[in-house]
Amino acid sequence: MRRQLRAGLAATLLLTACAPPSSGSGNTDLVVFAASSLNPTFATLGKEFEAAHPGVTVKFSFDGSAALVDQLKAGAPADVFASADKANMDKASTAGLIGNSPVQFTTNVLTLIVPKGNPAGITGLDASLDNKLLVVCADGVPCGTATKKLAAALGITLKPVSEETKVTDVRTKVESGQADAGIVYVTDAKASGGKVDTLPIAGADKARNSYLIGRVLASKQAPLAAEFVTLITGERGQQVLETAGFGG
Amino acid sequence: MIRPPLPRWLLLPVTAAVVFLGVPLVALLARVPWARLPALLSAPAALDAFWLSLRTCALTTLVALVLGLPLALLLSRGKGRWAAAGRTLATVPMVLPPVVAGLALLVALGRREPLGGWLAASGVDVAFTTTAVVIAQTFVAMPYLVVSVEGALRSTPDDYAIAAATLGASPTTVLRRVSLPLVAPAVASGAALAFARALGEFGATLTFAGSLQGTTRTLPLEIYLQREVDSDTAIALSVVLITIAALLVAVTARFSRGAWGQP
Amino acid sequence: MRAALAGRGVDLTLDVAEGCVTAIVGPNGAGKTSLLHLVAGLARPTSGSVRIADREVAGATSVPVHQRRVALLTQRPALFPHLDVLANVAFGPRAVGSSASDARTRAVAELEAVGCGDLASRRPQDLSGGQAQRVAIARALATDPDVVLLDEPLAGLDIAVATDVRHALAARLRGRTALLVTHELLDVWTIAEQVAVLEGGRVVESGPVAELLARPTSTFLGRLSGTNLFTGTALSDTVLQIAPGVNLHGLPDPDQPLAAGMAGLASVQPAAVALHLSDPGGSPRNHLAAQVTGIEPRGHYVRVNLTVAGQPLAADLTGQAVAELGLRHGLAVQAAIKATQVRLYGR
Repeated sequence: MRRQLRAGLAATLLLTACAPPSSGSGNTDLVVFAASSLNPTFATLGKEFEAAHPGVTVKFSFDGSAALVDQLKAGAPADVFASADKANMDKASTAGLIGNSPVQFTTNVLTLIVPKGNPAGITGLDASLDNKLLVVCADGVPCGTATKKLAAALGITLKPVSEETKVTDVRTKVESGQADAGIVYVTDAKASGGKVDTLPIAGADKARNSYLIGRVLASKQAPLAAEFVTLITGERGQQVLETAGFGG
Repeated sequence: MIRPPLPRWLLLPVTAAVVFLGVPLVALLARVPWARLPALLSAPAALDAFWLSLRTCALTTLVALVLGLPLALLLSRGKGRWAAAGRTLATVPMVLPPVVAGLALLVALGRREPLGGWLAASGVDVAFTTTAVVIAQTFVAMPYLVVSVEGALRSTPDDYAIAAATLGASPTTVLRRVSLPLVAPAVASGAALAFARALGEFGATLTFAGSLQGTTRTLPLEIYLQREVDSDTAIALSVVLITIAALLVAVTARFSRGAWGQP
Repeated sequence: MRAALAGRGVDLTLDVAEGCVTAIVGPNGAGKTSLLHLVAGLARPTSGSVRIADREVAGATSVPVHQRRVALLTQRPALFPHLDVLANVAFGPRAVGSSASDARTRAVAELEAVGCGDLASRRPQDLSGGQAQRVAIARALATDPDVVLLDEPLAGLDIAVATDVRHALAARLRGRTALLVTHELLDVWTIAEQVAVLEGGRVVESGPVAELLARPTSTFLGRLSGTNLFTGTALSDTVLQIAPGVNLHGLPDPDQPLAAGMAGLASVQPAAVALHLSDPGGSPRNHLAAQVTGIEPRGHYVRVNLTVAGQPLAADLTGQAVAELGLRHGLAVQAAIKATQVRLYGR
């Protein structure tokens, strides 16, 4: 409960007022700040971590990587931070928020999705998109930066009708048929559960996103945090991530 | 006349209330990168968002006036079940969570929905256009105008309109030269409120209209994006929104005091 | 104008002469305001019809309010607060299509006619009650209405102010067709030529004011002001002849003084009337031969009804006085009234 307080002022006051949580006795919370795209995967791994560590509760805060960095800067109490791109992890490291050097634990690539049945007859990142409603991520957020990089690498110009802040906003607009096509991570396409059709992008590999994870320097649970990082980078973590489409 | 004093202990909750309301705003102002402010606000994306917001909100206010004034007039005369239903309909969007408003609009006007599909087939495709922004804003903002004007109309004595009619003024003349001028302060404050609400519109726009610089990305959407990209810009733009909102609230307060002292 | 209508328990048949002010009096709930609303078009008759100068405005055909050419003046002046005085008065002419300059000229003339020419640029909020009602009169008359409807126009004003406005109203309504609803006998006397008494939604009596005041068969009219009224002809500014050889001495009303030869009205409070079995003498008193027509005990006093020269007179006496005098129906008595207790009004 205490750890969920985000507002800098309130959290600081409480942190100075309360004694640090005693590790090992009764309940221990491990707070993980993770990029939104990691949501179902990390949640699954968190349950397994809890099962392997009785008395430990893993609490997640899924949000955009940049928003998470802002929260960390404001003093939000977290033990582990997993970013969807290198830029945001670098921001956090530069601000002195991350202990050790963060490690890359997986990658993600982009794909084209269309509403189920592909009503607009999209064939790929080609002329079939002309005058169609394409929705992508905005430049500056990790998936948008990747999209921009990919378009440059492929030598194409995208003419989106909307540049969303969150990759899930791209996906829902395609799912509802509001948009004719969207560019999202492979993992998002998979998580859609069949509401969209996926059209793999040839050369998507040229804009591969790196996911980095690191222990938060201010963490009072350093050993546990390190163990969690190990779980993610280890065999079991990689297996779950792969199933979700990461690293493909 | 000296009014009986309020108990002193009220100062305690009052202080808490002031702190509660003031601290977030002060905290935000404290975080503003004042030195970089001009540069942040003159960035093309910021300017585009600013002008788009002003344009769409002005248009929304206009649409709200054109559609909302007649509705307010009718409701102010209405009695019974139909008027109550109309009044409910006119006020529900005010209390709807923004995302729900967006979902409702999407389900009604989405390209794959019956009505929206029919409109798209007839060549009226609003998806991802500035029109969609205005629709979303009008949906949530018009009720403020309707409620404000209807209340004022209800509290206006009938005898002005009666006097005007017996003097030979047709219903249109009565409306134009008496009824509407009498509630002009309420129309102004209602329009200011509608403008303010439209300016803050976020959920419905994001869900329904999309987000593209210069077309659909209004100030709140730009702030939402910049929060992910450059929080300094987000804070700088927030200051702009707070300033405009404060001005509008001041305007509203000025008008709701009433320009015409009732004789 | 002929009005025959039924609605809201109101069933009226009333002929109103053109160019005449007709006072409408009656107890509360008698249907006075309903009558005005039916004429103005603010209420629709369930049956019957309203005709103004041969034009049917309600009945088989219904003419909307703004085309009826009526003006309505109520207790509240209802001047438009967003317009200045001149624009308020010019509103009517403008609404019916006059040019801005014609409307303005007319408005200035109407304002001067009610003595408010200097108020043209004021805001209604800055006017006193009397000024506002005068401006409302000017506004109502600026459209040359076929009928002016007045619903207790002076009821909201102080007595002194009401007197002023009453005179302005009387002057401005002369020669116009108007219906004046009022509770004030002085309004009837000063402003109206005809009077109609409404009771229970029906006209129970109507006719010329002087005639009806002289013989009020309607109980309401007799009690309208709670005072005794005599009509007659002025012999001088202090003497009113109420019948050949029967004169009443009194004090002229400063606002409506009477002069020799003028039609006049005298009012006397019943408590100011003393009764004697024989002439008690004493010069400053009026001595009138009277006959008792009825005796009604009213709690602390007794109301004695009499006739004087064919006109009714009420006297309030103590029960003791009634007993000492041995008053009974048909008894001839002398009614004594101090001249200072008689108020004389000219017209």
